[in-house]
This record gives sequence, structure tokens and C-alpha cells, in this order.
Amino acid sequence: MSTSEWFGPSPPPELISHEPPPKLLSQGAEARVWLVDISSIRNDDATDAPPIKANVSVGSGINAPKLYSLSQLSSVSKDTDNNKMIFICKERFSKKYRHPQLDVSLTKSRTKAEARCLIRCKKADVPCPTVFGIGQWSASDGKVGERNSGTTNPAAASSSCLFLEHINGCTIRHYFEERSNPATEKSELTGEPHAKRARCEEDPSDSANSDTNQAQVQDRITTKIDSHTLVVAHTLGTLVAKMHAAGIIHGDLTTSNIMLRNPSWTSAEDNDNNSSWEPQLVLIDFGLATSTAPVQVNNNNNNKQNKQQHNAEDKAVDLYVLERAFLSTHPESEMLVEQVWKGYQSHYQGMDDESEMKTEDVGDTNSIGAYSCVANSVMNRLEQVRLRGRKREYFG
Amino acid sequence: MRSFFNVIAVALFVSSPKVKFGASRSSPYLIMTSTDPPCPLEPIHNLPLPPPSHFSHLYTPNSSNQTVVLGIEGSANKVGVGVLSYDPSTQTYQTLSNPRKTYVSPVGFGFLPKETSWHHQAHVVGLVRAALSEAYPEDGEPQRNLSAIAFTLGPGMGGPLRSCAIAARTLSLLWNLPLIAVNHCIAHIEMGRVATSSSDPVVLYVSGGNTQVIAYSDGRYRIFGETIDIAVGNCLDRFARVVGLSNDPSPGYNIELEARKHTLENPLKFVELPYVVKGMDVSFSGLLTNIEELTKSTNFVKEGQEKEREEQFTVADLCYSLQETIFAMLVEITERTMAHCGQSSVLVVGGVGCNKRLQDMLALMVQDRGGTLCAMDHRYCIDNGAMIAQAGMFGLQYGSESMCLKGVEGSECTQRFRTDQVEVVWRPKTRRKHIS
Ligand SMILES: Nc1ncnc2c1ncn2[C@@H]1O[C@H](COP(=O)(O)OP(=O)(O)OP(=O)(O)O)[C@@H](O)[C@H]1O
Ligand SMILES: [Mg+2]
Repeated sequence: MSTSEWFGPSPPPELISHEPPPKLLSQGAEARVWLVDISSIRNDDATDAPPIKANVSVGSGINAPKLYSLSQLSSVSKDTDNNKMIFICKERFSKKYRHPQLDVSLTKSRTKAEARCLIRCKKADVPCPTVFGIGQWSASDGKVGERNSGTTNPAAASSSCLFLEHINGCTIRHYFEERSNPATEKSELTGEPHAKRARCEEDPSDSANSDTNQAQVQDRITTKIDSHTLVVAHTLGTLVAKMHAAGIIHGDLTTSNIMLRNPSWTSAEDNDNNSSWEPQLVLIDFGLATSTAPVQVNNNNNNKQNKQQHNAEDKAVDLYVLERAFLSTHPESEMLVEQVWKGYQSHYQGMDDESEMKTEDVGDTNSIGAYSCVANSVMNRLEQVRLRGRKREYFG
Repeated sequence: MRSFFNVIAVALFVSSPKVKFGASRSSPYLIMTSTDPPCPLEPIHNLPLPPPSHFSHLYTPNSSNQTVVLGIEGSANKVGVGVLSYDPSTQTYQTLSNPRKTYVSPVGFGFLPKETSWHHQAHVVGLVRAALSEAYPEDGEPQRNLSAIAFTLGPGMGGPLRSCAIAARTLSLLWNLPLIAVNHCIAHIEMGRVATSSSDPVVLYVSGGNTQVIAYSDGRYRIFGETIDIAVGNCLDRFARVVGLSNDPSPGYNIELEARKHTLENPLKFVELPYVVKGMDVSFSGLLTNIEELTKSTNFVKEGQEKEREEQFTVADLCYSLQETIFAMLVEITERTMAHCGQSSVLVVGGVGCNKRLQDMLALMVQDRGGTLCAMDHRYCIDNGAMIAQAGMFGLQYGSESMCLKGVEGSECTQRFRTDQVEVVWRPKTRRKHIS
């Protein structure tokens, strides 16, 4: 890598000899996401030995499933759209800049945390990719499948892989940007996953683009606000609330970390009668997630209420990160953020209505429910977090 | 020239009667002056310069057809004055002089607004004089070369900011030059871009009061990541104070020196500390509390004592671990922003940006992404006057309405002034886009 040319990364050791070669979907900050196609493997000729022998306990009594053998994998991912049998391998690789001790501990703990939180989310019915398996290895412990013992890959000196269900769709960042782009709005785009690479218009290398630059100087792109983008934002709010209620703090809520299954690209005006569109959002990228106790409200016990106050900080910071991600990535998207908060509160409201129906002994119907109180305390805390952010600006 | 310096002196005297000016005039001027080659305009991809007629009501080039701006900075414990010129025939910006003075607080103490203001008031006049005479050594009336005076409007500490603003206002009235109000953070970015010729980098801005990851989009410098509690420099300074490291030349530098005791033959111990990254934001307050607790633990070996057991650690071990941990956090959020924006180059600015270990870590990260790191040394990384002049120059040349003041109106300093509040009129109004 020290040469002036840059060749791009090679797949993790276990997949290096896989045919067809894994496709690099995204080179994120700390992970590479590979798309692995196993359509060519028929059940009978797949080896039964799991490609990676790993059964990693991810803590608090949750074991990540052993990595399925390829034949098992092909049966679980069978119902994937387009009849393609594919799965995702999210590889966290070693970072040269970090102290080795810190590097190993971060890589391991994040992969485990991600698996743990994904499994907890699944249990709580929060839409997220299914975990197929988890594998960790370092070059020294030689645990890399014997089949591949011939290939040594120094780049993957120590890395952790998470094998996940593939979500057919795009990130909502991509969705919002495409909808906001008048040129592409009406054209039917495929839901193909896109490489998460962007480019700056001012890149000196593409001087041929200078004309389009000029055009962009005149009409600034602002984020499209229409019934579709609003409902996506609202649904996102309810999902985040559901996740928080289940005791999961995502830690990295950005519009790149939320996917939309099979997005519809038609403009909102074209199908106004189709107002009941329910976008299928999926939360991904739980590498910075933490799990706490689920929100449980007991009307007879005020102590619980206090404990929730304590967790409000984590939830509020989660929302703050999301708000900042929206505003820095999507110009003039304040209305969308507002919808996210509405969705967030409406989910807790819904939990109240539900518990009310169950208990039926609520004294005065005018008082706001205990779950709504939780939502309110998180929103109040969010205001404090915002203020803290601004106050800090006091010297340079 | 003496007479107008007396005017500023009087103006400052009115604002703070406790300062003795005689003392300042006799004190030796510490001049750390740039000897950098001139910085070309072309590679940094600004808009083409507007025709001079367009903003001729704002400023006039001097007799040699150059535009020259004098910038005054004093938002924290450094006061600096820089003279910067733009030559239309070569299209280059050049720093002509950039002297600076730093207020150093006693061991165990941070710098307080009152003493810092006194320090700045005592030195700003001398620095203006030094900057002008170094820029135009032959000239008896160097101020005749100037086109405008730029000063820091904020963010920063109120007293020090006001002390320098008074000097700027007085000079503007005396010499009948337009005043340009500059955002300190924008100044760091623009100086960095020009000095390293980087057109559109992701900026890591790390100093005593700020920790931000910034990228340009659609007419503004947008903050993608920042600290959700204390700034990185603040965290370093407070730790240095706890373990009694000197504030001279800066607490952060002394921590760096301690950490450099780590070698391959004699590695320092890495003590695990809380590592808190949330999205593209970081948090240091938990880490600071934790490391402060460690200095009270029985395993902490005080200066001059010997390590006896494996689990023990020294000041150097802690400095090393502190740097490794917080810099890894900073590099991580920078890398996240790069991935998010699809950028491959990084510019690091601010006082902490001089740290060699941080620069090395960033370089390793950037190299793995096939990009480049743009870093500078202390002359431009640490607060200085030339950077205020540089941002002011852009504001002047492109006619920024918010920056070019009418007279002294609107020159009241503001302690809070966010980077994304400033409209960056000198760069194209494009936004980043995905390729799909
Ligand atoms: N299960 C999945 N199905 C389809 N695409 C996926 C899936 N998981 C991730 N991707 C794609 O890969 C991209 C990066 O994934 P992810 O956010 O998990 O990795 P990351 O490296 O942690 O990202 P970053 O660090 O940049 O936030 C996503 O934005 C998405 O486009
Ligand atoms: Mg991501």
C-alpha cells in the first residue's frame, strides 16, 4: 500500500477464493461491505463444513449463530428477491493508525456489539438484517479455514466479519438525494444497491464538468419535501422509538445507515390516491450501538420512571446525532426532521394506548400516558443536548 | 507613525485602565515569522476573482496594484498580527509578516479572560508595528500600502476578542480603511487551504476551544462531527494541569514530549481509557474524569519514583495512552466524514493539529484511502494574524456583505459564532452528490 498506486482492498481470507468474486459494495470508514453471490452453489455440492469455525458469545446470554455452512446459507437466503442467493459480509479490518491493543479491542467489541444489537432488535421486531454468523480471526492464530491455508493475506492481519442478510433497496440518504434531484425524479431507477461513493463537483480532474458546475451555481438543490419523503421521515421516527423502547441505542443514526426496501421512485403527485404507502425501512450499521434495559413503565412504581430519566440522555444524544446528520447532509430538511420527532412521539403514544386497553383501570383519562412521558423526557433532554452544543462554541 | 500608536494605546487604556503601556514598549518582541513561499491561488479552486470595478467601492489596490490586508487575531491566549498581500499579476497570496505573542499561564492554571485581555492589550500595538515594519522595512509610512483591516469577530473569549477589536477599529478610523469581520474557524480553514494548496479537503479543526470535522457544501462550511462536551485541547490542557506539566510553550506540546518517550526498545504502557465515538461526534469528558481518577490510584507512579510492578504506570504512560486514545477517536470521525462525503484529502488545522503523532495517524489513515494529508507547522496551525487577513481578503475580494462592515457598525465581538453561520461567497455553490 506504500506504493503510489492504489489497488483497492482484497476480500477477507475466507472469501478470497470464492466464485464469483465478492463484490465490494461499500468501503466505509471502518468496514468493507462485500456482496457474496452463492447462487452457483447447489445444495448437494456445497461443503457441509462451516467455512469459518467460530461460535462467538456476544454476551448477556446471546450467542450469535455459528456461521452456516454454505449449503445452509443458501437455504436461508433462498427467499431473497430476484431469486438471487446473496448475502452480505461486513468486514471490520485492522487500522494501521491505531495502537494495536486498542485496534483489536475496538474491532472485536464492535462486531460483537453489532451482532448482539441486531439480534436484540430482531427479537423486538425492529426491522434490521438477519445475522447469519460472525467470524473473527487474526493472521497469527491460524483459525482461517484450512481450505484457504495457501492464501496469505497480510492486509487482513486481524479482522472480524459479520454475515448478514442482504437488503434489496437503497439508503434513505440516496433516496432523499435522488428525489431532490429534478433530473432523475421521474426516471425509474432500479433498486440496485449503490456504492457509497460520492464525488465533489469541484474535483479539479473533471474540468469537463465545469458547465454543469455553472448550472448548479444557479439552481441550488434543496431537499424535496413531498408526501413520500414525509412519510419516510415519519416512519423512521416510529422505528427509532421502537428501537429505543427495546433498549437499543444505535449510536450512529445517519441517513446512510437506514435502508429503504424496494423504493418507489414515482413522484408523489402521480399517485396521490395511493396515500397509504408504507415505506419499509430497515435499520443497519449497529457498530456503535449499545443495549440498555428496555423501556418498561409500571404505573404503580415510580422508581422505574426515574431510571428512564437516566437513559433519556443516551436516547437524546442518539436523536441529536440523527438531527445533525439530516441537516448537514440534506439542505433545508427541517420539515423532515420535524416528522421524525412526530413519528417518535406517536410510537410511544401508541404504546400507551395499548397498555391502557390492557389495564383499563387508568384513573383519569386526561393525564398523558406513562410512555408518552418517556418520549417527552427524551425530547426535553434533546433540547438540553442542543443547547450544550451551542454553548460550547464560546471560544476558539 | 508614533502618534497613531498612541491613539490605539489611549483607546485600549480607556477600556482597561490597569495596563501600563510603557512596559509593553520595552518588552522584547518575540517574532515567529513565516518564511513560506507565496501561495498560488490557482490550485485551490476558488471562484475566479471578480473584476476590480465590481467592488471598487469597497477597497482600492495600493500603488503597486496589490491588495494588502492586515489581520488581527486574539480570540484565545495568542495575539497575532499578519500582513498578507495579493498580487493580480501572479495571482498569488503572500504572507509578508506574521508575528505573534502567547500568554502563558502559571503551572496548574488555565488562562483566564482578564489576564489574557491584559496581555493582548499590552502587546497588540507592538505587534502591529512589528508586522508593518517587517512587511515594508524601507517604508516610513507602511500603512499606505494597506487596503483593509481584518479582525476576529468570534468565536472566542469576550475580553481578549474585544481588546483586539478596539485596536482594529482604531486603525480603521485612523487610516480610513474598511473593516472586515472574520469568523475565527473560517480563517483557520482558508489559511490552511491556501498554505497547502488543497482545494476541497475535509477539515479537522482541533484546538483548545474547538473540535470539529468540517466539509464544504453548498455555500457553507458544514460541521459534520464535533465534540458533544469539551474540546480536545481543553481535555489535554486540563490533564496537563492535573499532573503538573508546564504551560510553556503549551500544555499539549509538553504532553506530546512525554508521549514521545515511547520507542520500539522502550515501549510505554498503554492504559485503556474510555473510547467514545457517537456517529461522527466524540466525547471527552468521561475519559478526562477516568484519567484523573487514575492519577489518584495506587498504581500511579509519581515523578522521580521507580516502577516496581507490571500494572503500575507513570505520567509518560498516561500521556501516551491519552494521545493514542483521543487521537484515534479524532482520526476515526475524520475518516467517517471522508467516507460520508466521498472525499480523499484531509486538512488539519488548529493548535492540536501541530501534534506530530496526530499528523502521523491521519497520514496513515488517509494513505489507506488513497488520499493526501495537508498539514502545516505551528506558524499557521496555531492562531495567527495572517489567517485572519487571508479570510478577510477573500471576504473583501468577493464582496461578502456580512464580512465587509460599514464603518465600525457591526464590529461588536460575539463569543458564539458557528462555522456554518458564515456564507462562503468565494467558493462555488455546489453540493456533493452521490454517484450511483
Ligand atoms: N444488509 C445490507 N444489505 C444491503 N446493503 C447493505 C447492507 N448492509 C450495508 N449495506 C450497504 O453498505 C453500506 C455501508 O454499510 P454499513 O453502514 O453497515 O458499513 P460502515 O462501514 O459501518 O459504514 P460507515 O462506517 O461509513 O457508517 C450501507 O450504506 C449500504 O449501502
Ligand atoms: Mg454506515
